[in-house]
Amino acid sequence: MHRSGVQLRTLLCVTMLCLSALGASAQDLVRFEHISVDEGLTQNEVSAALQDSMGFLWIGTPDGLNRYDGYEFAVFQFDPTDPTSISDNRITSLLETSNGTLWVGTADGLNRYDPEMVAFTAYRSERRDEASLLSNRVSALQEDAAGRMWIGHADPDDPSVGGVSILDPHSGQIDRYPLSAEGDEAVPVYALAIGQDGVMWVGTAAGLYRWDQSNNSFSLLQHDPNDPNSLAGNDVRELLLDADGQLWIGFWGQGLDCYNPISGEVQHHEPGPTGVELTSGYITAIAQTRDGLLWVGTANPDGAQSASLHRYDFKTFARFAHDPNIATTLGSGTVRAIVEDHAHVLWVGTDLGGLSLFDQITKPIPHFFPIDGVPSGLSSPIVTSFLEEGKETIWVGTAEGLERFDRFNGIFRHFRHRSGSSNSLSDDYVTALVAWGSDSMWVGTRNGLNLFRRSTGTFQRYLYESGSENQTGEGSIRALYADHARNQLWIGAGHGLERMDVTSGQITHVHGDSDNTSEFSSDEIVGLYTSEARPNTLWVGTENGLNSVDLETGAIAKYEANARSPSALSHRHVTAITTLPADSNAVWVGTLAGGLNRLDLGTGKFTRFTRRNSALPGNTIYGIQPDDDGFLWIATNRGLVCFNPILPDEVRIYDVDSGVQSRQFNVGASYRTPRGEIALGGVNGFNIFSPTGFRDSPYTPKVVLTGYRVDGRPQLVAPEAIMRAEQIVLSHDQNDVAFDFVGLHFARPDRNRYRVRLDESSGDSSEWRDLGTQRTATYANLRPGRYTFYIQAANSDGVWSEVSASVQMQIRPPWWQTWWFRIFALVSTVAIAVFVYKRRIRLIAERNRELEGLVAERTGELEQQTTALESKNDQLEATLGQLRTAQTRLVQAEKLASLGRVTAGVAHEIKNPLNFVNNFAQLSEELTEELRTELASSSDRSVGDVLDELNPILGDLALNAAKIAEHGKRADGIVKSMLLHARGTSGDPEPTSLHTLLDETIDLIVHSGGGDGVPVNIERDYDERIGDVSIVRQAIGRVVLNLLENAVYAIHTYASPEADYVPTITLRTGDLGQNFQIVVEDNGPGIPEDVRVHLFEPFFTTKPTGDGTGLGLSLAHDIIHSHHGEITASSEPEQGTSFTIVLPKIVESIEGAD
Amino acid sequence: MSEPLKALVVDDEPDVQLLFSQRFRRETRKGLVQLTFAQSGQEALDALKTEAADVVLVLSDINMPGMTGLELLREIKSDYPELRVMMVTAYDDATMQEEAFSHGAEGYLTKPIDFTELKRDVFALEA
Repeated sequence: MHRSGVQLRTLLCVTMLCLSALGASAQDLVRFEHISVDEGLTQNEVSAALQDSMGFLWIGTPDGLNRYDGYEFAVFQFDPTDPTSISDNRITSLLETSNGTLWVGTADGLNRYDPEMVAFTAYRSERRDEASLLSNRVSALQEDAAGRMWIGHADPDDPSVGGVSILDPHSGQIDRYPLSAEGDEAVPVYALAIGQDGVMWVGTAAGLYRWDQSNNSFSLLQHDPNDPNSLAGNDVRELLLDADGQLWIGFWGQGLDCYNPISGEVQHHEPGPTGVELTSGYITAIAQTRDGLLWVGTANPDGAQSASLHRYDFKTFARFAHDPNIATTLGSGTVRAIVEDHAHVLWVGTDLGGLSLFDQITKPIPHFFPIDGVPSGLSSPIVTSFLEEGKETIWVGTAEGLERFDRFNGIFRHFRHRSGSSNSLSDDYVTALVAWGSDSMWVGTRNGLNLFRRSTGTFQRYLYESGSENQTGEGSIRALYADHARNQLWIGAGHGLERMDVTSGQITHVHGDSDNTSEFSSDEIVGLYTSEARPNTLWVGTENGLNSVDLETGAIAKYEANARSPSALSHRHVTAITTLPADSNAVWVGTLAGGLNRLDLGTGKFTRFTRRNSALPGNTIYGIQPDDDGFLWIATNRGLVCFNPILPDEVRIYDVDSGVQSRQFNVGASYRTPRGEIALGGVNGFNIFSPTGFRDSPYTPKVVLTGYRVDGRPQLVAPEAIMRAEQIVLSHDQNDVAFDFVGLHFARPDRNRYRVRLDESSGDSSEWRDLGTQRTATYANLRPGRYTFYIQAANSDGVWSEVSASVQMQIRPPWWQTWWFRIFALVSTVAIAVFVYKRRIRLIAERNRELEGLVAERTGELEQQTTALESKNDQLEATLGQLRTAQTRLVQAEKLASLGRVTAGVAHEIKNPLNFVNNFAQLSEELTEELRTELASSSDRSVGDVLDELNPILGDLALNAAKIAEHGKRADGIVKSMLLHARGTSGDPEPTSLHTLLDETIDLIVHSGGGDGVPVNIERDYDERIGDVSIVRQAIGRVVLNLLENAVYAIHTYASPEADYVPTITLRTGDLGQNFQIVVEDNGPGIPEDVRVHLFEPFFTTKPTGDGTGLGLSLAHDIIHSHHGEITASSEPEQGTSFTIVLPKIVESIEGAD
Repeated sequence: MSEPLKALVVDDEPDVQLLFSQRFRRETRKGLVQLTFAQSGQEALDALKTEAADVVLVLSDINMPGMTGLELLREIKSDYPELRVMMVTAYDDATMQEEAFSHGAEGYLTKPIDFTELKRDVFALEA
């Protein structure tokens, strides 16, 4: 704050006001807020106070120790069942040592606080133990340069208690100094102070002791009545070493001494006139704030005057006392503790009033309001208008008269309506004030207009009389504008606008008739305004729009409101109009419910600022005044706003807690003095302030994490423990975490704001999340990982702390997500896979061996059977017809030959699949070997690399296994069909898929190559209408096989005369309704007529001897006939042959099958 | 590195290609061998004119539909006399062997293929 002459004088005289027993209507610049039991303090009697290095405020009362964070109190009291609780509830002194430890002195023991355990360690006096404290009564605490604790003892009820105990916290050793030569009577010690030089000063009831470190001796300073340069007294109660090294000594009754330790000079301060000297010689507290001022608390045991708080600027002692009529004065009782916190808030603890605090940084806004019993104060809380008369005088219009405020003396002079006195004010309800000339002032009221002349102190009235032209219209005057140049007065009233020619007194109802509203937007005039830049334009605000009148031409421009159009006036009821000198082409308009508007005179368009699109807290505007820096001060229904038109999102809001009279102002009750002060009137008096006196507090809150909750359950740790903890470690299912924190700034803690950020260590830092005033941040469903949680806080002026508080957190992954488990799982999966594959390969190889064995076995078996049957048949059939025997034998031989051919062919063909099975199996073994090698050498490589190698190998393994299976199956199939063949042709007819059977037979032929190795081209021509037929499968298969074999043979032995001869066999089927036919056709040499006749005869063959049995077709013929079918052959030489079989689709029984 | 040995393998069984590819994986990777495959005699002859034009060896099955292995052998020997052809077949009888050799086959291997032997003999490789 600038210490200009006026302001200092104002400071002093306002201070003087505080002295008067009648109090003052003005509230001075020191405005106290209170914290008492209502807010949670254990008792209103405060005995000690301290702010620790974390920022918490510790308050000692006779009923326990409190810790305040700006929002809540944590209370520490004696609990007989808890040995870690504080030793006694009667707190006498508090000290934080250089290592951050809190020591608490009580009436029964000294305590050391352990924040992480939330426990107190008590030190007590044991009578017989010389190594314990001298007494349990602690009255003072101090730390010396060596880190030892000095404990002063005194008991107000027992003067024999006294002395000093010195405790070494590391060794636990205690030294006792009773400070008395006489027996065991100790001297009560009340105060301890340590100087920069390491000298400890001990204030006792018998003088001041000086302890010399070098020789560990005490020297005593006392009052010497003969020496004016000795101490004023011997009963030393308070000590303070100030920033200049002077020792201040507070006595009980003899006032205050300032002692220079180096020169030995003493300066005495004794009680004297209020406002100049101390009011009492009984000193109860001394403190120095960072600005160098000294604060002294005094008591009045004789009760002549109330106890006081003094502020000494090294010239005079300003006094602050409790005033029961004014809530913002010091709390009641005697001052016991004075502490300045990190944010320059001064805390004063009294013994009846709890804590009184005042923010030295942010001065409250001067607020004037009526006070009961103060007749020279403001008459009415309803203030409507202002007019400055001179630097020291301001006229204030209220609902109960006109006030002339002498700012220097703080006195209000009242001017009221006096019935019977025609030159008094026409009506007490003053609504508007405007200057006229050097001596006069127009006063508009609810009932009439007045012209006040200062020289005479009289009012000339202009009242409404119906029918008279020279009178003002009926109704209350709302606004006045004096056009000096034209000697006219504009009067805005509830029924319209009027203009009075002052010289003649003639009043013209300019546009005032309620019937004629076509030219003005409304009759209900709210305000009149002219800017200096455009003195010829009169702005008229009405309840239904904005108008401007050109005073020269009389031209009217009308601006109507349209809430929906963003470039129109936002609301119809205009309440305030002003301009900014720097923005001369614009007019600023406030409205009753539409926020702020800026009218651009060039375009005629409005820009609006409301609660929604800017930081304006409310949309109701009562008044607007500009300041010299280009800001607009706006009285809204949510506080006084300092608005920056360039940055509409950065506003400062001042509310009742800053001294604003209330949230309800009177429309039009805003005024700017020629020197730039702003006055605003409302329903609780008025504010008048200089905008340049406002400064943001640069002190940012200290952020402290007070606790955290996991899954909603609070984790019981002290804030100190959390802040000092390395990190919080949680398991994976504890992933819902909420952090609680406070920003320690006590000026307006409810307006402290917070923002948080949670960074994951593996990712980029995230964005700050603004929490407003909320003091909790919740995170749900956090993934496992490492996090750092940052908190920043801003004070109530919006200044953010640059340093964040942070805490590390780690959420452990569940055991199934840890890397080592994953590796383990992978390796075991691979191992299992390998094992499984190997096993399968082994099984498949085994199975293949089995199959081969089976094949060999079966072949062997069959050969054995052949021999056995042969001999058996020889034996059994010997006596039967020789033909039959021979025939049977030959039939068998034919079968066997056929079977043998097929077997040979099959065995030949199994070689192919077996080729694959063996080779793929071998390959797989090699691959597995490779896999093993890879895995063996994988230990020093990354899992990714290893997998890159393993994946293709595993792929091949899988493929090979599939191939093995496939070919194995194939071999299996071949063997099966061969076995089928071996089973013979007898059997019962069964539903068979004809075409499948034919395909199989073709396969047999193709793969056996007809026995010659030359491939055959067999074409199929199937009639798909034939589905299943009821036949003996093997029998018909045999027949078709035989025919095909014959066809193959025929083709192979045929040297065709055609050049591009392609030997082709066609297998055709046809649906004949109840029957079906099979045709085997070839384009071979054909069968000559003479051969064809004998075709189906047994033993008939055209093959060379030894080649074929000649029974094939005969057998075929028999089989077909037993199926009730027909077989025929047709052929022409050189044109191929075809055999046709016709069979019924359903055969009931087989006759005489072989 | 010397030129890889380029060979054409002809067999109507599709798995033969897979088998040979796997069997010669290392050799292929080292650049010692380069294999081309055909699934019929006609396909083989086409390949010899295009992508397999620079093969030095043909390995062919005998028992194939359409053109048999022996027919293919005859065709190759008439068009590319320098080209080595070996029959790889399931037929294990002397008659077939004689026929193959008489048509100019350089070798005759029976299935199941012993790849160790194959590699050693045919490719002169360390198996």
